[in-house]
Amino acid sequence: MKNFWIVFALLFSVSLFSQEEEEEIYKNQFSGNLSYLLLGSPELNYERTLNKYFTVGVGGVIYSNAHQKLNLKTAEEYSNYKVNYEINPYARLYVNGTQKRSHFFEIFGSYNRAETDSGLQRSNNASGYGVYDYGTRNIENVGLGAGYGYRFLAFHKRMSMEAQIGIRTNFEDVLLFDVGLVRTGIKVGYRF
Amino acid sequence: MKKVIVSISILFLAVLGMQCSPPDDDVYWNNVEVDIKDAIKVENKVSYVVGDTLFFELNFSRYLPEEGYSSLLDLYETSGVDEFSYNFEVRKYSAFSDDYVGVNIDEQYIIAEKGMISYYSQPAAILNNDTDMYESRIGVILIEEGDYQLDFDYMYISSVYNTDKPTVGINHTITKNNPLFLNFTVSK
Repeated sequence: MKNFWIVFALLFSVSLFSQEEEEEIYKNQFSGNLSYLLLGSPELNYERTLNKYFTVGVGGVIYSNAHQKLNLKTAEEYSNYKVNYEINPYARLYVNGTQKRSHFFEIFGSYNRAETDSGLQRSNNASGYGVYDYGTRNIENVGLGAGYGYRFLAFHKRMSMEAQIGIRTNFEDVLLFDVGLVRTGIKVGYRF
Repeated sequence: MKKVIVSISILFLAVLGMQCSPPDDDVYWNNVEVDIKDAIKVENKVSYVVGDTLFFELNFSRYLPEEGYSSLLDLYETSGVDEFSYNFEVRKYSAFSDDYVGVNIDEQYIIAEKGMISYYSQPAAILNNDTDMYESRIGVILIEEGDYQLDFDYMYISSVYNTDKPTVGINHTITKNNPLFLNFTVSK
C-alpha cells in the first residue's frame, strides 16, 4: 500500500486553473482519467446532474499490465491477484453545487473481474506423464467504495478537471477484503 | 446539508478504515511431494584407513509413481530443473558423549563422481538425459580415525529452486528389505 501514498502526494501537486463563472447549466458530462491513461488503462465516465448538489453516473476501466504491477487494487503487497476490469455506478454530492467548482464526495459500487493463482494443477503431458503447473482462477467481485475530490470548471463550464481519490473494498461471503485504490487521479471531462 | 456531509464523511472514513487481507485459499501452493524407497546405495564396508574415500550413491528415476494417480509424475517437467539436492550426516563416536555426534565436513573432503556438490557441502543428483535417471555418486574422504556412522534418517531430496515452477520434494525411506551397513571404522 506504499504506492497509495505516492499517488496521494502526486494528486496535490496538480496546477489549478479556473475561469470566471457564468450562468451556464450543463447536466451531462463525459470524463476520462488522465493518470490511468498514462498507465495504459482507459477509463470513461458518464455523469448526469440530478439537482443543485447531486449527480449520478457510471464509469468503467480496463486495467493495463503496467497499472496492475503497481498493485494499487489489493492490500496484499505480493499477491498475484489482478483486477482486469471494473464498472462503477456512482453518486456524488457537490458541496458548492454541481454548476460551480466544488469539493465533492462520492460513493460508488463496483463490479470487477479479477484473476489470481489457483495453486498447483496436475495434468498429463503428451507422453502421458503427470506434470504440475500453476493455474489461474477467475473471480467476479462486487464491492463498495467512497471517494473525495475537487472539480474545476473552465471554458464557460464546458470543460471540467478533477482530482480524486477513491478507495474500494470487495465483498466475498461475509468477509471484506481487497481494499484497493481506485477511481483515483486527474480526470478531464466535457460537459453538455 | 451539513448532516449529509458529516454522514458521507463517516462512511468514507469507515471504508478507509477497512484493512483486510485476501482470504487464504485452500490450495497447495509451491510443493509437490512424492515418496521413494531404498534409492540410497552404500559400499557397505566396515573398515577403512585414513585417506580412504567412502562412497554412496543416490539414483532415482525422472518418472516416479505418485499416490492417487495412475500416471507417473515427470519430475523434470514439473520442477523445470535437472538438479535435486539432498542431505546426509556423518556421525563420529565421542567418548565424552558416549554417543555418535554429527560432524561438519568441509567441502574439500567431499567429492562427486556423479552429480555435484553445491552450497554448504550439500550433494545433488543430476539428471542423465540418456537414462532419464537423476544420478549421484558421492565420496567422503576419511581424514580422521575413529568410529563413524552414516545417517540418512533425516535425508530429504528436493529440486533446486525455480521461480517459475513448483518445488518437488521426495521423501526417502530405507526399508528392511535393503539393510545398509552404516557403521564403519577408520584406522591409521
